[in-house]
Amino acid sequence: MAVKKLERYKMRGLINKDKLILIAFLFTFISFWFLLPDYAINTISLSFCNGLVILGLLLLMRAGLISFGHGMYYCLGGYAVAMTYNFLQIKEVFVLIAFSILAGFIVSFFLGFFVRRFRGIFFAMLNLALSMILFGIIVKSVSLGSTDGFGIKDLTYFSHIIEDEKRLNIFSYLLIVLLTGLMMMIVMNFLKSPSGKMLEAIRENEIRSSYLGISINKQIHKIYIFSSTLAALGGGLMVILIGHITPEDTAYWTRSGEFVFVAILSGSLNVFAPLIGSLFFEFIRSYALFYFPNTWQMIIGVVLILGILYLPEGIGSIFNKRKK
Amino acid sequence: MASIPFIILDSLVYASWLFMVASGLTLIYGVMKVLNVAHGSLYAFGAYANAWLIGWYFNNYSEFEALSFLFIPISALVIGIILGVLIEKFFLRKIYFRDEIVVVLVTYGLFLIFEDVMKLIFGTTSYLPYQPRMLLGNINVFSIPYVVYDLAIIGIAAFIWFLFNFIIKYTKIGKLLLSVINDREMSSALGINVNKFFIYTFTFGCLLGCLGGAVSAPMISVVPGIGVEVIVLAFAVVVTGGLGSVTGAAIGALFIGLARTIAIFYAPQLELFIVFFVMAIILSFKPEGLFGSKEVRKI
Repeated sequence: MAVKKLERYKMRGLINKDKLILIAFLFTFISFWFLLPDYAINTISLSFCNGLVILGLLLLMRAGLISFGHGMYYCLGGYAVAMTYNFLQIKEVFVLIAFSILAGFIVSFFLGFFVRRFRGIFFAMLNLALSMILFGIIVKSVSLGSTDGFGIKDLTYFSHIIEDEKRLNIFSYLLIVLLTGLMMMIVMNFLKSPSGKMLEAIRENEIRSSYLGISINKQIHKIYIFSSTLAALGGGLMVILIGHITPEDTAYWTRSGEFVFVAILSGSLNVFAPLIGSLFFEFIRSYALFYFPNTWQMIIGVVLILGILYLPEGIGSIFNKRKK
Repeated sequence: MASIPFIILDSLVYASWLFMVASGLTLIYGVMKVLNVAHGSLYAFGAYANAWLIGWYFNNYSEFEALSFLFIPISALVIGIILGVLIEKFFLRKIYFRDEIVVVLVTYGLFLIFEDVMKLIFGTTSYLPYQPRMLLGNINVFSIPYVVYDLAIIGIAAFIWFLFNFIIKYTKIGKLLLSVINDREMSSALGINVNKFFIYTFTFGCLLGCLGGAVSAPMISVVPGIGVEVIVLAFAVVVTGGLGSVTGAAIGALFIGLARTIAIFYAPQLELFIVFFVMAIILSFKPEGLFGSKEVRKI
C-alpha cells in the first residue's frame, strides 16, 4: 500500500527527485550543527543568508538579466530588521523577518515600474545607481545611523528570550537553514510553473515571446519583486545572525559586485548552485582573509577570472550565447 | 545668490574632471562594447605613479620645479600603454564573444587584483603631491581667488573633447573607427584589421583613464581606494550621457557636475545621492541616455 501511495504522490508531483535532494540537503546542514566547529557553522550560516540573494539573482538570470545593485535590497532588509528592533522595540524574530520581507517587497514593487523598462547592461547599471542612492542617503543622514549603522541585542523566538552571548545559536541556525530551504522550495516550484518557464522564453527571444502573448514587462516586474524580496530576507537574516549592519558592507557597489560574481560562477541551472556557490565563496574569502590578509581581494579576483576563462560550463547556459 | 559664480566655476572644474575620467570609459564601450570596471584602477594607477614620481623628484632635486609637470603625461603614457596592452591581449581578447555582463565581471576581477597590487607596490600610506598645484598659484576670476591648476583642467578636458571630434570627423583613422563601431563583421570583411583597432582603442582609453588620475593626483591625497569612488561616478556620467558617446559623456559630466556642486553648496548631505538621482531621472525620460542610440530590435 505504502508503495502505491508513494507512486500516486509522485504522479501528482508532490514528491520528486529535486525535493528529496533538498530535504537531504537540509538534513545534512542541520546535522553539521553537531559535527562542525563554531567558526564553520558561522560561515555556513552567513553563506546561506548571502545565498538567498544569489537565489534572487538566479531568477533574474533566468530571464537574461543581471542586477549590479542587489546589495540595495540586502541592505534594506537588514535595516528593516535593525530599525524595527531599535525604534519600535520589537524583539520577536518572526516579526522582524516579516518586516524585512515587507520592506523588500514594497520598495521593489514601486521601483519595479521604473526598472522593468531596461535590459542588459542598462538594467545592471540602473540597479547600481539605485543602490548607490540608498548608500548615499544612509551614509549622509545621522538619524539612519550614518556609517556606523545599527546593532541589535537579545532576540525572542515566540516570546521565548534567548540571552546568549553568541549571536549564533541552535535557534538562529535552524531559522536560517529552514527558511533558506523553504525559499529554495518556492523558487524550485516557481521555475517549474508556467511563469517560470516563460523566463527562459524571454531570455531566448524577447520579441518572439511577446508575439506569443507574454507580457514581458509584467513578467520582469514580477521576478524583480520576487528576487528583491529574497535579497531583503537574506539581509534580514544576516542582521539576526551577525547582530550589526553598516551601509558599507551591504549597499556599496562592491558588495553587489560580489553577489554577481557568485551568481555568475554558480550559474542558473538549478536552485542548489547558488547555495553551493555562496558556501564556496565564503570559505574562500575567510581562508584568504586568514592566510593572506593583505591580498585577499587579489585571490578572489584571480578565482573569478580563472572561473570565467576556464570553467564556462559552470557559468550556466545563458552566458554562452554568442554576440551578434 | 552671491555664490553663483562660485557654483559655475566649481561645477565646470568638477565636470571637466569627470569628463576626463569618463571619456576613456565611453570610448572603450563605444568601440568594443566592454564596460571596463578596471578603468577605476587605471585612474588610481595613474595617480599613484604621478604622485610617486613627484615625491621622488622633489626629494632629490630642488631646481627646475616646472619639470614636475612633465610627470603627468609620462606616468599616464607609461602606465596606460603597459596596462592597456596587457589587459587587452591577455584577458579581453579571450572573451569578446561572451555576454557583455561576463566581460564586465572579468574587468571587475582585474579591478580587485589591481587594488591589491597597488597596495603591494605603493603601500597604504597616503601621497600628497601638492607641489605642481602650488607652483601655478592663484588667479582672480570674477574677483574670486581660484587655483590656476584647477582651471587648467577645464582646458585639458576641452582639448580631449576637441581631439576626439577632430579624429573622428577629419582623419582616416576616425572614419575607419566609425565603420568598426557600426558593423564589426562587415568592416573586417572589407579589410579593416578590427583586432588592431581594438587594441589601439583600448590602450588609448586606458591612457585617458591614467591621465585623469595623473592630473588629479596633485589635487587630492592619493590613498588606497580612490579608484572605487571614481569608477561609479564615471559609470553614472557615461550612462547618463549615453554609452559610447563622447559628447554625451561631456554633457552628462556637465549635468552631474552642476547638480553635485549645487548640492554641496546648499545641502551637503545630498552630495552622493544627487549624482545618481540625476542619472535615474534622465534615464527615466531617455532610457538609452542623452546621446545614446536606440538599439535596433532584431527578431
